[in-house]
Amino acid sequence: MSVIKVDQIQGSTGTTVTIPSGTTIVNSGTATNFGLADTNSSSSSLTKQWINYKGTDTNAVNDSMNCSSVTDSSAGNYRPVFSNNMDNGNYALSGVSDGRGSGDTPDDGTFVIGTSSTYSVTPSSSTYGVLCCTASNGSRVDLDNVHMCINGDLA
Amino acid sequence: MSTLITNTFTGKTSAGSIVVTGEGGSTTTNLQQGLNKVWFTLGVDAVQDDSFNCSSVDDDGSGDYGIHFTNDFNNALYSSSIGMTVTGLNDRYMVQSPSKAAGAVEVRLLNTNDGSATESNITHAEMKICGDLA
Repeated sequence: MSVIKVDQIQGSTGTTVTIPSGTTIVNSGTATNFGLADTNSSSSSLTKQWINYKGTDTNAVNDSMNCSSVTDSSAGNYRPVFSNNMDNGNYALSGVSDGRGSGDTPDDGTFVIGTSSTYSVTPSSSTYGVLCCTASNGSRVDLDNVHMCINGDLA
Repeated sequence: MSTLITNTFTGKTSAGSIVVTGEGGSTTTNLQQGLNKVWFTLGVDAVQDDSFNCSSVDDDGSGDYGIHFTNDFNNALYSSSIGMTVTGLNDRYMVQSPSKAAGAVEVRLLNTNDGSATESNITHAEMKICGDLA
């Protein structure tokens, strides 16, 4: 078997490199990134963190992606930490909570991101703050099920 | 630029896990877990104007809907995000009901002043959901 070692393959007269009909290209199982050099373009549209969080009693991360921990700072004040950091603090947070109450008739509950205040933190590449408040009067409250979702650029 | 034309992506080591390099190049994320598994824009007439991975909608009362998934989640521990379209300067909000399940999400549209259910001055409720599919 002949081995050709190069860093780049380029067409001799243009950008097309032709693989002749009947030719088989075999990945022996050791090659990586085969044909996927431009992975960054597919990354931007992916959600970079999502969390299903229990904010009452024994606080717990029920399920998550890219979340190492969530600190329960005070009533309705949570601070998720990324496993793999973001590039900066300019990401987009979205989410919702289960309403207070039970079954199919919840009555209240919401959450907002905290930026820089007594109760929260400025979003950074490693963490951010979330405040959960009652929609009816704005008071901070622990909620049973808080959902957080982050879109943005990873480091 | 390389173009890969295919109908299906499947992980080699683990069928349900493909690693994608992050924008900064120094870390990675997971393709399957980073995808939105459900999204919908739902009219208060209980009609989905557009959606992904949703089948039917239950109209359970004023501002009370159940949206069924085409392909179920692994469990009910998914992570949802919401948005709403309202008419005028009316403050409304949507919460997820604790009665959600792997195969459907229950939502309630509420007045923010007293937490009561409502459909008034709302045209659409929007939601996206991340999590693990079954």
